[in-house]
Amino acid sequence: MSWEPGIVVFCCSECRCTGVEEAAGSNCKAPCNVRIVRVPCASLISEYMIMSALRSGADGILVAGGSFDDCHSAGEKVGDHRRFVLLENLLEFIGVEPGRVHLSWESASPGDQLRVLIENFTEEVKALGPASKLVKQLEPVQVVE
Amino acid sequence: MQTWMISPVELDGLIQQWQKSYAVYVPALSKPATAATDCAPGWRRINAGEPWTLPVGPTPASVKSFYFPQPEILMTFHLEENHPDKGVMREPLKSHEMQVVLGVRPCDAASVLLNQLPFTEDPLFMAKCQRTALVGFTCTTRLSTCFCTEMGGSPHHCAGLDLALSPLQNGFLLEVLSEKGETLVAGCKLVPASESDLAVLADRRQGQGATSSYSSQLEVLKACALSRLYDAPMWQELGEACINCGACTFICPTCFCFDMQDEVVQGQGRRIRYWDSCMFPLYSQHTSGHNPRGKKLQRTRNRFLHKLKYFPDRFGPFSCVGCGRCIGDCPVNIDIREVLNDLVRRTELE
Amino acid sequence: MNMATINDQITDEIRKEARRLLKTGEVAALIGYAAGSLPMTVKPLVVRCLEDCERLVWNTFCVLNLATYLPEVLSSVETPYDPRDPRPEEPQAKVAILATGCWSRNIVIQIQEKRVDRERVVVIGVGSRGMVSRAKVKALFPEKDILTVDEGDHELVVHGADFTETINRWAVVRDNCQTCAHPDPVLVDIRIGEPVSERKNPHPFQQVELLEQRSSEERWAWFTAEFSTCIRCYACRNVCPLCYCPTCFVDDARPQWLGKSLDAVDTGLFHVLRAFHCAGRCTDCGACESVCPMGINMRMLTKKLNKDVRDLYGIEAGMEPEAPLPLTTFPLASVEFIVADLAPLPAAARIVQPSSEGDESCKHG
Ligand code: SF4
Ligand code: SF4
Ligand code: SF4
Repeated sequence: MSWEPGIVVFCCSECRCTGVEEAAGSNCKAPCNVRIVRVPCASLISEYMIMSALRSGADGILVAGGSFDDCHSAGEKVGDHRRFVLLENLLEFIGVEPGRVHLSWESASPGDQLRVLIENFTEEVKALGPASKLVKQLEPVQVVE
Repeated sequence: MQTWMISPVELDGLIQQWQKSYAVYVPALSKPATAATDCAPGWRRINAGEPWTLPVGPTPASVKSFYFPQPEILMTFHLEENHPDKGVMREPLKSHEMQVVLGVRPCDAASVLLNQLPFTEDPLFMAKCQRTALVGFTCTTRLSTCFCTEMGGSPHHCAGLDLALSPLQNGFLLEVLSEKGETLVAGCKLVPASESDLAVLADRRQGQGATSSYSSQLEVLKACALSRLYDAPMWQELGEACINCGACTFICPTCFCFDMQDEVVQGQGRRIRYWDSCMFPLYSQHTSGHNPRGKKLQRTRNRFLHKLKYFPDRFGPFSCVGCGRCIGDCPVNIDIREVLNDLVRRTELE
Repeated sequence: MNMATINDQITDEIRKEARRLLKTGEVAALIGYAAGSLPMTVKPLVVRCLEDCERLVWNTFCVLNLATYLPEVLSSVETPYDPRDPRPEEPQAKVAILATGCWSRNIVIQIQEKRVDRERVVVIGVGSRGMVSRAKVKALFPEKDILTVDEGDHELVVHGADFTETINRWAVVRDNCQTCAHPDPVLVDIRIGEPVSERKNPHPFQQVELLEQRSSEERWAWFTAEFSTCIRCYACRNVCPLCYCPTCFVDDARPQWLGKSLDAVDTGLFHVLRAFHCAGRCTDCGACESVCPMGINMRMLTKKLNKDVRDLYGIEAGMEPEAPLPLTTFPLASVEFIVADLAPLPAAARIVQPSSEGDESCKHG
């Protein structure tokens, strides 16, 4: 069986997640490997969530905020966007493959377009191969039976 | 037990012989990999014939992580769906193979004895004591931060070691001090130490600089009422400067506080025991949210009073061996020797 | 070296000023340094009475950032009140603090972040000539026990039991001081000594750039090696004036963001996130690097962030008390600039060049 990347998608339920269940459900390409985490606003996505997804072995992390135009709390999101660009650069700086964590703040309508985005992202992550950097692995331990 | 004379070449041969049957560790001098898989950060395993050097003064990392690893796995478990063992706690297998730690200084050897007091009923700690042989070197040079003699130790002491090596002009005096030590030298042809060599050693142990009259002065702390020390005004200044990091407690050979937590990664779980520090605010935090040591001052005071009052009250000796590591590494230069002086002066005021 | 050095004169002036401030009751406390017990060390000292003024010193080893102590000392001189009552309204006592360029910028950030009330702080500005790294000096004398170090204006005389050597001071000045562009305090109420001019530094981020030019794998190798020795004592975190969360994310147990002991991934994540939390706020004071007992260069991460914050948002932390914080306060007008610049996200476009509009909108916002 060929390797399928595990993808975590953080997305704003206000602007991106409408119809997202269907998007994931009908996405027959890699349905079970995509986990969608809905948040009420993209600005609630914290660096901890992103990093712990990475630590727990996600091969790709997609942060999908909506467009700035139709956002109900645009200001917050700008701040977050400013921060996450820095985080992305920092991860790249320490040697994590560019593209593992992808921020999408593009203007996109719900449903289908999110699916396309996820599919494209999945393809990109596939090209990168499985994540190993900043992924926590436990050493095997011999136990008393 | 027996004392032998051994030349540097013979010592090398002896070490190579140990390496055939045991893991042998020496102090790592360059940046030591902390997360060593063998759980001894600051030390490295050497193979036959590999060169090594012993630094002057205390080794960069203390020996405590051989006994009190960071972290210690207490239990393992699985949380994966469908795992046959789901939810069952299993104990890791303990190793009983002997390991040799080479290059231990007298202060660190004394620290192992001290740590055995609170851990005497701890099977994990004691099992490691049983399998670890300490081969130490007495000191010919004291660093400016060394104050072992003040704490009742000595650069020439060998308590806590299994084998003690004391450098002489043309070799080492090798003292065999325990059964483990016997095993290590079993079958070796060694020359017994001469009378005059033994006299040199005895002289070192009794001679000038081997002890300090200050250590008897410190004894007054043990008799002094706790409240008097607790209320000393000096804590205000210390507590204010202290940044409450864990540097001093983590590098200290005699600090032994720990916490336990479960860590789960992708369905696999470990219950670990890891180092904690009384300097951290969470250390004393209650579930209710109340923190009896909520202030920096209280935490700083606790570190010193634990070493110099609570521990001796409970077990007898002070819980500090005078290695001076904390003095050199404290970011804000809190010097335990100054704390001691201040406390002694306070008892004298009475 | 019989003549009084620059720092000796500064010490005298600081003591004089401290006596005056405490005597007149202008301030209730002053945060400075006292001599340390080991060569090349100093102790932070909070002076509250006239006698202690004589203990104050100023030398080339003052590597901690005193701003770290400011909020706590301020609250220690407040009139005590029952936490159930409202804060007392009468003006509260003031605190004086010594500050070089970077420390003063941290005080500015504390003011911006509302941790410190500008009215209650008296900044005693001292232009910095660069502080010496104890680790660098020690590295010059491996296996030697340094007993005393005498300080001249341009050289250090290092004494051991069996040696005395003179070394050039600038050669052992900390990396962050060597690349510092603003050694003079940006916020001064009382000045001590001569102002130090701004330094034109053509390559303030040279170290970061050198790493950036290496391959991804090489950078990863650097990262893993550099942080492999961390013992997670958190001295770097606690010494930093920017870190003040009552419970740090590393200590959270539910959710447990990170493992608690020595695991390379957990340690690495701690450092990435710690640095990230300083983004847009770090003044490169170097305290974290100076205090690390393991000699880890975690400053490289914050330095990288400082570089990006400057390049992307045109901001240097703490330069203007009136300026907004770059990552939490900004004009909505900058939305266009960001979206326009970052909409295509292929890897190559990720490191964005500074845009002049960006600079403008941030500065005037
Ligand atoms: S403290 Fe004493 S025993 Fe320890 S290294 Fe120094 S002289 Fe040796
Ligand atoms: S308290 Fe300091 S001097 Fe005493 S044993 Fe611990 S590290 Fe060594
Ligand atoms: S000060 Fe050094 S050893 Fe301590 S946590 Fe920071 S990097 Fe790690």
